[in-house]
Amino acid sequence: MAKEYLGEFEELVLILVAALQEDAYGAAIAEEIERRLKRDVTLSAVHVTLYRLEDKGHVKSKVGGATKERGGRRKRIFTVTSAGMAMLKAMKETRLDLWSMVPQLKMVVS
Amino acid sequence: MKEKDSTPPAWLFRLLSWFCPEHLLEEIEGDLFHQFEQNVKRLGAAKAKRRLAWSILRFFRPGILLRNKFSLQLNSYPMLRYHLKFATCAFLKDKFFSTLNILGLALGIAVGVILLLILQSDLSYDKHYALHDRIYRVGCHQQQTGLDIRWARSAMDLGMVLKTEMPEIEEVVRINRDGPRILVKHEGREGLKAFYEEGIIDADTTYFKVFDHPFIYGDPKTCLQTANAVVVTETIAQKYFGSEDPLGQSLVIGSDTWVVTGVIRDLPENTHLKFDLLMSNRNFVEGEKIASENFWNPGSYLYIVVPKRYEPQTFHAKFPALFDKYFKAFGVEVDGKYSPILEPLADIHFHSDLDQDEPQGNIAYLYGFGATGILIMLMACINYMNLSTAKSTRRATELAIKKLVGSSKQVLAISILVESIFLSLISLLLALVVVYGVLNFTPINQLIGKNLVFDPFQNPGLMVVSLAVALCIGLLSGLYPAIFLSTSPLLTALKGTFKTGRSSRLFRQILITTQFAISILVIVCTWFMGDQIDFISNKALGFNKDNILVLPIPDSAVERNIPALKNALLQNPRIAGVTTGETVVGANVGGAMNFWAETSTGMKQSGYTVIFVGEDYVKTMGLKMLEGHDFKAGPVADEETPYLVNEAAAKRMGWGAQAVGKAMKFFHGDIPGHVVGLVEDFNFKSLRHAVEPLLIIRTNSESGYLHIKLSGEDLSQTISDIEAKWTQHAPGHPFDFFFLDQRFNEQYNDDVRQHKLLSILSGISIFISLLGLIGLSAFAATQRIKEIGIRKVLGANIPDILFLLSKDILLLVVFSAVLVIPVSWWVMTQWLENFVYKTQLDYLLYIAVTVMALLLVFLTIGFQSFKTARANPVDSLKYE
Repeated sequence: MAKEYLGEFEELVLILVAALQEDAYGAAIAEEIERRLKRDVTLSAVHVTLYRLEDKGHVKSKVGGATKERGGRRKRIFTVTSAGMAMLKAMKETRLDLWSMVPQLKMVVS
Repeated sequence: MKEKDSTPPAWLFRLLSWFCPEHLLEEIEGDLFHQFEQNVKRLGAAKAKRRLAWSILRFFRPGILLRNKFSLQLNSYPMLRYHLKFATCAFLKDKFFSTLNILGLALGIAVGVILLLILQSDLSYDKHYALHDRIYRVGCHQQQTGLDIRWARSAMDLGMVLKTEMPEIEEVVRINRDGPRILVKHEGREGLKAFYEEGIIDADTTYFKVFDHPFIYGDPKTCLQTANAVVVTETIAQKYFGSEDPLGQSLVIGSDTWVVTGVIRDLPENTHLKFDLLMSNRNFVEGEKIASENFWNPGSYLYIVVPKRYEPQTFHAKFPALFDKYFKAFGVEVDGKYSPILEPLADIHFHSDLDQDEPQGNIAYLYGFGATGILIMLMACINYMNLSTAKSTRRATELAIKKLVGSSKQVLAISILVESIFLSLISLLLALVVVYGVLNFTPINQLIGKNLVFDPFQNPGLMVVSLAVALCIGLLSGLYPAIFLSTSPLLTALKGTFKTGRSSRLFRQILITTQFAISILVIVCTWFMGDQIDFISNKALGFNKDNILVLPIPDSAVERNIPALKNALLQNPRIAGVTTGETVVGANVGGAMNFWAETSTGMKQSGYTVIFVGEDYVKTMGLKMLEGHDFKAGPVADEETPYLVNEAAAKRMGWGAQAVGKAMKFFHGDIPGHVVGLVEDFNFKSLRHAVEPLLIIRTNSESGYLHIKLSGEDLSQTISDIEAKWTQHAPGHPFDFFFLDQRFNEQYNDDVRQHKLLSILSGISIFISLLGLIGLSAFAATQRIKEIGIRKVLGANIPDILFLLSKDILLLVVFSAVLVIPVSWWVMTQWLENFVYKTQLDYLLYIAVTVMALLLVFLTIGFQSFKTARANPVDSLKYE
């Protein structure tokens, strides 16, 4: 566990998968990234990242029901596994630890 | 916004489905759809479509593509077996098509393999010498007043001082070619053996330090060190000594006796400097007086071995010092400039453009063959593509069932690829057998003037490349069918009503057009090349080359008997004239010699081609005198040399019609002379060259070659009569003659050879195209069997139906012929640049070739569809 890392984009996608719950599929995640982070992202990048996360065991997926939208194609819904959740938490804690080392004064000044 | 506009274009999704793994396809398409719908609302349909296309393209990335492969690798071995099983089934089920396919592919691959062999041999010219990348040949570029030469040779003296002046040069060897033909004799246990030899060179004792040869007898280090040592090839050793031990045997070469000190293996065919006997020349090194003038006289080939990582630039940088020391003294007298030309050994054969060189290779032919070979292989691929897409209707049911039981598109595509690769590998085996047969049992090696050997075990490189070629051909031919067939609609295929669509038919038409365009191109070029070769072989040369028998005069002993022999020969009424010439027109005339000639601004020096001749030369050769007179009969006076000049020489000197009486002088010779006559220009070299300024000089010695003009009647009787006179006047010398016209046309041997090879290739190319057509038309005929039945009921007759079946393809042939016109025009103009004398491009040729192609195509199709056309309509319609 300790040796695994997540890249910045991977972490972003993983958090969004956790956040969006039942709505976590490729296009929705890409949309969220564009809307909230104002960051241009291609669909393929999101998909590739999701598959990689699945390979690593941080997310699992199942195919959802068919809808009339999307040209009748089904969605693949991603959910965070407990390993993924643990990874996210561990990362967050490390961040906080590191932040606590930054002198408080400077934050006020800036 | 209209509803229609806001649906994403289907072809974009099809694009995605080609490379996207099946299990991911649905959700990715869904997401793309989702995004597209959002974009339509936000940005409008047009922009959304562009974004969609871009998004799809971005999916073409390893993270997606590799997921494809991964799922396949899991079960690749059992799947491969399964694919192979089906490939074998398909192969056996339709033997006719499979045979056509394999034949086409095998022919294509065989052509490819033979071309590879040729390339392998040609690209490795001289590379068998261990030091080849450190050996350079030193030629020269010399300019003096009226003289500008670039020769492959250098002065003997330069070779001598080179090593002392540039100590970094490791070895120097100078080589002279002797001959052209020298009589070699050996008196041994098996009696006297005497032959004329053409491959004789002499070289410095350092020769074997530069060029390594495998020795059978003797020691490369010492064999050239003794006096009068000669090293021979195994063929020569066999020829003269038979079963005797060749070492220490004596050979009389010309008039001197030489001792054999070594026997080497025969030289490979791909070396630029070929020889059979190598005489050591120890005089090169010792006791030559260095005179500046000698440096300006480039007579022998000079090779140097340089250290590793040597830049030829170093040589050029050091040369001026050497020039000042040796060249300058004489250089100022003739206002001369001199610069050495360094050529890497392996580049000499194809890339050297210097004069006074060994026979050159023509790299353009190499490129030409490479291109033709690749085109022919392409045609074989096209055949496969055409046949397998055309008969896809038959396979559609099989594929549909495979799909039904769960095969993915990728697996189907791979099974089709496996099939094509399987066929191409079988074809490779067949092709290798064909190559072996062709090289061993047909005269192809003589035809192309090479010594190709097909030995798979000695030549692993070739096998690897052949395998690669076969795989590429398999892949290339299978690729389109794989994509096309694996995406065929499931339901129609199952119902058995699957018809090939318009796009695939168009594609097939493009392929057929390409194929015929290639065939017609190759045929037109071949034909045209033949025209040009005919033209140059038969063009009037300005002298009469027919019925002239040429006999080399071996030595000075025979020379003394020539006048008597001449008289004896002239007794025969069938001999119209006898003369001698130092050189033979069209065989070894060439090279420039410096002469002074009178001009309006005083005496001027320049280089001329020269033929030294004996009595009656003009008459015997049938030259035409324009002005002045022929040489006077009888011996020439010592204090005055008479000259004949040709029109080109008169033109260069600005003499016009007043050539007679102008003063001439040899290079440094003191004997003055005058022009006594002007002869019409005649082609004394091949028609690749324009007529150059020529001097004909009468000498008193009757040496070189005896030219005998025959009347042409009763040839064999006349020749045996000449032989009788020859043995009487030149006893002990073989009667070894040739005819001038034959020797003259031998200059075009290379072109004739290329033409023959190209004819074979063009035959193969048209054969492959027709092979494809046989399959296609047989198929088309069965497809349209009902249509034909109905037409026959309505009154169509057999020719109508044959025409109907072949009409489409005939149109394509005409179309491809039109396409070919500009390409072939360009190719042939390029090739004709080789010749100064050219035939005209004959446009009738295109029509003739096109008509011929049409006829062949019609016959092929007609033959195939005749059965269908003749069938009783009742049989073909009764099941409807």
